[in-house]
Formats: sequence, structure tokens, C-alpha cells
Amino acid sequence: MKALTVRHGSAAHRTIQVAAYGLLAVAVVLIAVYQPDYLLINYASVAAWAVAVLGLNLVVGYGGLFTFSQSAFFGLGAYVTAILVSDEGWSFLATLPVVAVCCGTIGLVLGLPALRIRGLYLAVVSFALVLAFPSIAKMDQLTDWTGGANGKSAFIEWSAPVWFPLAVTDRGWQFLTLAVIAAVLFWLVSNALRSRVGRALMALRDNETGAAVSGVSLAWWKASAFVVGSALAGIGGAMLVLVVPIVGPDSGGFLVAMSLITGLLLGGSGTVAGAALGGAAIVWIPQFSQNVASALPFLDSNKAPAFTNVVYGAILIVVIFVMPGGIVSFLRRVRDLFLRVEHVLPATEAQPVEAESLDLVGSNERAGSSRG
Amino acid sequence: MMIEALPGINDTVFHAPYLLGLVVSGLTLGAIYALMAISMVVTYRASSQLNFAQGEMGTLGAFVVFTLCVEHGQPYWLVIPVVMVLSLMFGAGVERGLIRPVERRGAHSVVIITLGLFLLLNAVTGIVWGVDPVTPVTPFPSGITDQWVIMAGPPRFAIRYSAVWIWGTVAVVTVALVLLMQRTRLGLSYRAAATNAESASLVGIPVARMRMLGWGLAAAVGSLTAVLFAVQARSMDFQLMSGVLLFGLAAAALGGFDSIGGAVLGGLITGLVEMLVPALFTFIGAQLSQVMALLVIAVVLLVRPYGLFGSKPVERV
Repeated sequence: MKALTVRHGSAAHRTIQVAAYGLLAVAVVLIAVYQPDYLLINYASVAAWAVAVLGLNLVVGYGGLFTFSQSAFFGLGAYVTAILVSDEGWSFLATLPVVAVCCGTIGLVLGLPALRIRGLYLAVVSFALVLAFPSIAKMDQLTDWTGGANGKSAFIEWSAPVWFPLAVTDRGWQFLTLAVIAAVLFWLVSNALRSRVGRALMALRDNETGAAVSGVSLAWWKASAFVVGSALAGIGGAMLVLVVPIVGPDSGGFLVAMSLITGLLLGGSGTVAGAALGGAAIVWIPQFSQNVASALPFLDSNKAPAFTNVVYGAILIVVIFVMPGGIVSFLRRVRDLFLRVEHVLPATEAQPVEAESLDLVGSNERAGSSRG
Repeated sequence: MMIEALPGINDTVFHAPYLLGLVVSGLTLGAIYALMAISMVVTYRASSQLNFAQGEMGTLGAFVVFTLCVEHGQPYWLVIPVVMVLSLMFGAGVERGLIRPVERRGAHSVVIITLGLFLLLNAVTGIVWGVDPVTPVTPFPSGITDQWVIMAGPPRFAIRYSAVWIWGTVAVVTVALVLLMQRTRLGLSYRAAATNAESASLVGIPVARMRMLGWGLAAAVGSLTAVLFAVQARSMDFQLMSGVLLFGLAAAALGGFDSIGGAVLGGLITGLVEMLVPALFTFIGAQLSQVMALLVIAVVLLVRPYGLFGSKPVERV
């Protein structure tokens, strides 16, 4: 079969895009209505994790600042929501802006000094925060708020309102709510990334000096990436509270950091769709590994739990081996078999422009796109 | 004394035997971190990558030593070199089989590969050797009372035999590695490949093989680190190296990822900070004491972003 070719941004491309998003929305509603509760927990968790991975993607995938520490903001967001809901009686949705401001501010405070540190040094330094988070959450002075090592529970009543026309269970309504929040955030971020914001961040990632020479303010964009990324990580953590109503010191610990970074790189770093797939990978790969391990005939039931991590580790290695750009790059290749999207660059150089300005544009582009 | 009046300061630290005891344990832990950091540096110089599975590869090596010595009754001094050679081959194989194929294709793919390897090896060790701690083999008595008493006290100050053994081994390995790097043709090739791969390959240095050598050497040093740390901890299980990996990484960052001398100093400083800072300042709660060393290192890196001895990369645009 010959692949259909459409031009990016043309009417045909737009139609296909709208149809695809429409199908996705229909699928979400169908899942909310027809899937059993125990699966809906997974779907709702995917929405929460996807938002957190989107935040990490902004920092790591687009900004090129390799950090593990977003897990701390994930945990912080979860704590803020749990405390506001269970102690102060706030409604769940009202806590999300507070979480965003809180995590964004702390992300700025911690991120500003980190602007000096680069590459793998930043990765190591960020580990300090990953390990510090559970310790801070357990501190005696904070026990009244955090509940110490036992954590904090925050059960949130969440049923579909009367005006909603479809019959969904509480779990279904949770999933729909989180899916809508995630969709709005993804829409905002992907729009921002298609504009000057995304180009500035990617220039920064590919070559800092080149970006600075082209007029990208390094400090401003790095700090902005930290702030927005931290806020999104916090919102992701807060969203997960709706599904899993217990927050503990480990809600922002080492395993969360590992989940986020593997989710990002498995999904596809530096792409918005990759963040969504990463969220799905975080939720389902461990479960899939567990199922595989318990189904293996040569293992007795005692060894199956330990074998889960063997399968998990093997999946990570195999996926990256087969699809180095993450799942999203693989899916793109599959799509290209049926549908090709042509990107048409604005024809700046071909047009007769005055020599002076042409030179300027050309040299800026070369500086911005060359890799060190 | 002024200092005793300060709140939050633990003045018992200023008793000489107590302070010396802390310094000795700090230096012992630090020597182990230094060795881990060295293996990070050797990997990093060879390939500009960090191996997050280094600790688990070491744990695997330590358990192979345990099996060969205890269950098969082989002599310790034969088993250690054999396991180090096996580790060298394993490390080189990991570089050739897993790292090199993915490296060219994705920016952070290697991170995922080593994290996957971390999970996999950790679980495999847990399955093969069980999750219960075992007592590691040592070539000499290394119980808690096997020590030279230097100040009878109380409080008394003593140095355990195992501490001296660890210091000695770390010193020998470091010197041997530096001699290998600086005084042999092989080391010269390794350094040339690390400094400028293209130029090195133009003068006929097998750059790819030098990378395998780097990963292999790092794995051999990593296995030795795990064996030594098991002696220090007097027990080992499949989680043996989780903390050492982290503090070794931090020590390597502190010293600068491309400096062996920096790794040694970084390791010793990390060990000393970990023992002394929480003991001195009582307001640091028990929960935070573990991460104190990491926070101190973070602050140092804010002032010197490429570590104490790391070289700042020069970029061409």
C-alpha cells in the first residue's frame, strides 16, 4: 500500500489531526463508561504520571538539563493537596493552582543556584534532593503536617455530578476528570513548545553558547523551564492523590525519580506525545513485568516477585535497544508507512531578500543549530 | 570555651578519642567511596558516560567471590584476581554489547540501559543468592573486636584491622591504576583516546578497544570495592552497594568526573563529611544525616561547577 502524503498544516493534515483527537476523546469516554473499576485506576494514574513526565520533559527533553529531582516536586504536590483536602477541607480542584504556585516557587528557589551546574554534575547534585525528600517528609518538626513515616491519607469524595449525561462510576469520573486536566495541560504546553519558547529551549539544549549568541537568555529560559517543570510535576503528584489517596515519604523518593526518568526516555524525550506514552509506560510496564514473572513456568511463587525486576530491567534494555528514540519514534515510523507528513520550511533563503538581513538570518541559524 | 556555649553543637566531639574514632571511620568509608569514584572516573574518561549499574556489577562480583571461597573452598588470594579478571571481561562485554550500539542513536539512551542493568542485576543477585544477609569472607579476623587499641579510654580509640586492610588496598589500587595510565603504552593510548578520539584513531590507536578497556577496568575496580565494603559492613546482601554507588557518584562529582586524584580526595572528603558533620551539629536530625554529605557536595559544586579538579570542557560553536 502506498503511503498517503499530506503537507504539514494543510487542510487535509488538519482534518486528519482533528479526526485523530476526536477518536482519542471518544475512546477516553468509552473507557470511562465501560471499563471495570480496577482498570480505571490504571487509566487515571496514567493521566497523572503523564503530566509529571511532561514537566520532566520540559526540563530534560527540551531544556537538556538532566535532573532526577522532579520526583521531589511530585511528592510535594501530593502532600500539599493531601494536607489542604484532609486538614483544611478544600475541594480537590481548588488545590491544583496552589500546588502549581508552591512547586513553581520552590523550583525557582532551588533551580536558580543550579543554573551554574551542567550535564552529569547536575544529575548527581539533583540526586541530593531525591534522597532528601523522604528524610525531610519524615522530620519530627513536620509530623503535624506530613504524618511522619506513616504518611497522610486523603480520601476525596468524587462522584459524577447530576448534569453529566452518561452513567459512570466514581472511578470512571475520576479518570474523566484527570484526563480533562491532563488534556488541557498538554494542549497548553504543546502550544508553547511550538512557539518561540520551544525553539529557545531546544537551542539551549543543543548548544548553549550558540543559543546565547543567538540572543537566547540562558538564565531566563533555564529558570523558566525549572519553574514550569516543577509546577507540572507537582500537579501530576496532586492528581495521583485523587486515585491513590495515600501520600507518604516515598511518594517523592527514589522510585518515583526512577519511574519518571524511565517513563520520559521510554516514551520519547523531547516530544509531547512521548510524555503521554511515558505515563502509560510507568503504570503498565511494572504490572506487565509482574504478570510475566508470575506466569513463568520454571519459577515457584516465592521467586516470582523478585523476578519482576528482572523482566522490568530487560524490558528497559530491549525497548531502548529496538527503539532508541523511545516508543514515540517507533510509532512515528509505523505511521509513516500509512501517512507521511511533509514539513515545508518557510522559504527564507530562496526569496530575494536584501543581502544584509539575509546574512544575519543565515549566521544566526547556523550558530543555533550546529552541535558541539 | 566559647564553642561549648553554642546551641546545636555536640561538644563531646572535641574529646580526642571520640573525634579520632570518627575520623578513622570517615576515612575508611571515604576510601571505599574513593574506589567507587575511581571506577566512575575511568568509565567517564573512556566514554563520557556514567554507569549506574556499577554498584550492582560489583555486588555480583562480591557474591561470586563468596561462592568460590565458601562453597567451593578455593583460596582467597586466588579467587580475588580471578574475579577481577572476570569482571574486566564482563565490563568490556557490557560496553561492546549494550552501550556502544545505543549510544550513537539517542542522547540519554545509555542512562536507561545502565538503569535497566541495575534493576536486572540487582534482582538476579537477589534470586540466585537469596535476600538474607551472609557473612563475607576475609583473609584475616575482622570482627568488631579485632582491632589495635591505641587509647585505652574511656572513651577508647581503636583501629580495626579491616580499616587498615581497606586503606592499604585502596592505596595499592590507586597507585597501580595511575602507573598504568601514566607509565605504560596502554595507558597512553587510553588517555589519548579519552582526550581526543578522532586524533587518536588517526595515529592508529584502537579507540573502540580503549573504551572497552575503560569499562572493563572500572568493573574490576568496582568488584574489589564491593568486596572491601562487605568486609567493612561485616555482612552482605543484594542491596550491598546501593549507598556506595550514590556516594561514589557524589565523590566523583566533587573531585571532577575526569580526575582520578580528584576522585580519591572527593571520596575521602565525602566519607569524613558523612561521619563528622551530623556528629558535630546535633540540630541535624537522624533522618537528614544520611543526605548531609550529598547536600554539602551540592553546595561545593555550586561554587565549582566542574568539581575540585575537573576540567571545564571547551566548546566550539
